[in-house]
Amino acid sequence: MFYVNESNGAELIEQATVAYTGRRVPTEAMRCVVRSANPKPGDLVLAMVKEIGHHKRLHRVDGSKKNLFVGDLVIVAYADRYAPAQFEARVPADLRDCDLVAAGGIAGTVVEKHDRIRRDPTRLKPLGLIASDPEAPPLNVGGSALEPVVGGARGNVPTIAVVGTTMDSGKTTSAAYLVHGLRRYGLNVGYAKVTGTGAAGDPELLRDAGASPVLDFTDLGYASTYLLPTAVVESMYGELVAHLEQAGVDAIVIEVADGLYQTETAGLLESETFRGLTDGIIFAAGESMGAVAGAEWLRGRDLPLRAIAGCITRSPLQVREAAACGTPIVTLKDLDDPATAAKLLYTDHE
Amino acid sequence: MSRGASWPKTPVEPVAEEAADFLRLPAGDGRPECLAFVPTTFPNVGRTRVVVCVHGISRDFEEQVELLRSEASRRGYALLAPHFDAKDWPDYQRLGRRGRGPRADLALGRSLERLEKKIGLSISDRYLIGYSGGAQFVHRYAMAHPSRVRAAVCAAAGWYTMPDPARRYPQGLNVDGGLAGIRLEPGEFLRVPVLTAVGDADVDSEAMRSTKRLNEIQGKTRIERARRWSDAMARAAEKRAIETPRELVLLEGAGHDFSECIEAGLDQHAFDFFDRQGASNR
Repeated sequence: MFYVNESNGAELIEQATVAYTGRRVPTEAMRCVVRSANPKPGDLVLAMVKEIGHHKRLHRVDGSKKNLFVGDLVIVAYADRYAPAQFEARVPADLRDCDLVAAGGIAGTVVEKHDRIRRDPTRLKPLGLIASDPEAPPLNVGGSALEPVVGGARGNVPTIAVVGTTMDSGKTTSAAYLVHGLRRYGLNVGYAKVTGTGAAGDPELLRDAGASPVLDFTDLGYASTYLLPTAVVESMYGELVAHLEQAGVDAIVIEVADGLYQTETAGLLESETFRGLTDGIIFAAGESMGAVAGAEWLRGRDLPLRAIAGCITRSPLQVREAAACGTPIVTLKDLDDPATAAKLLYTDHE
Repeated sequence: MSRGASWPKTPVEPVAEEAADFLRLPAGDGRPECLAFVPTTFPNVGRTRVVVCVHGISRDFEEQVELLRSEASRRGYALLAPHFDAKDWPDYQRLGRRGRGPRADLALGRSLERLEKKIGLSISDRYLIGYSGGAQFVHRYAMAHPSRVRAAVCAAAGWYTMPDPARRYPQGLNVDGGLAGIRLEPGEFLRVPVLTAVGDADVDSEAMRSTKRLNEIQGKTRIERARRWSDAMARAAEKRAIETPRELVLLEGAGHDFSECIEAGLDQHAFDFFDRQGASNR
């Protein structure tokens, strides 16, 4: 058991593993532990692992995974979490014991969980918020985020958005194969994930697929985007596009987490910024009914749907059913094909 | 606290755009439109000193240049007055939080770079003066970018960001992703010399943000708020043994009106304060 006093905060911080969500915060700024403030989304907390539950590993700043043991010290970020297939969690009101609700390093209190999650969440004992000195505000991931590009996005780079029916519908895998196909076509491709919960896995996959740069909402200062106002998410979309444009890429693939019914996703897709900066949409669906309903939802809003992809393509029968909606259905092999990937990027709004 | 003498109003001619000393920098690439005044006395004693003048919600940036240029010219300072118009810069007083407007602080940095290119000189010392909503911008800018500010003058701000680490920005220092890349570190921003000024007749609270909580913490008038903020900043500095020039001036006879504040000597106080800070060594 660890106890924090006025003199040992820095020492405990040094022993702790910093999670992926805290990767942009300079370790030299992590100098003391304060217990006088209540946690807010994005604040970094020094915590001790109290019980091992659902998450047995933690993503480090470099993307590698640390196996967790009771008594380990970790530095994670407080955030709300939306994950229909795992946990819904909120930032607690104070420094009471809480849960590790995502392997990327998110501390919160679970309010609901999916039936398939058999184990309780891994429990954390917060020792205090991390600050640069005892009278300074807690270090928040926002303080080390990328500053917005002055002037914003120009909309001069072809941009494909990947959206889906819900979590685990195949969005990230589809985005990775599309990136790979565009790379094989000879383009420099930038990738960004605008919403979701901070984790190292998706950016790693996209880097391996050839995207550069790879950015996500954690680069903009949020450990998770759940419960952010639509105007903020809209602004983040524009900022990520602007950063990728500034990097000089030829094509942008940008992923929007969760499903069309998720509040932040729906708000973003209906925004002027999304409409103005998005040339085409790939819709990832888990099954045929979701594919058809999603296509109708997007068409009903006059959004530029280019193709259906995702887990549905594993089932020829469901592909046949979804074909009735009249939108091309593309497999991972299709997305990886340079000619098909380029056609998806450059084809005008259907 | 010093009480400002009532200075005779300097006769000021309207800004003549064709005059060689005035530069109009058009808006573009995320920069606001700016009016610059570069006197023939600039640069002075080898220093390129620029005062950024930030307007309040009346957006009268030209009036600021008109009323400050005489003193600036006499002492060899250039002026740069950005125009954060209401449509494009709705949250400039709070620096432009994500989802509420573009980042006015970053845009100002770009405008200063543009001025440097125009005049062909690198700016050695940057000073800020803001009036009303402009004073809100100025003190928050100095908190967010202390290394870029030689000294600041905040006149008649409606309310302030208090040096309270537990409260959320803009009431306190706890900034989240809404102001990406910014950490308000008291150990840094308390080193910026600040002159706080307010008219001693500026007691009308109608045009001022007023909530029960804000009134309790900061006071009900601009005078009370200026005093409480200055005291809080001084206490925070003392706690850290930081010794930085910090002054509060009541401008005699001035209400909530920029020209009345100038008549009461705001320009003299401001430039005297800037002169006293010497060359940049931070």
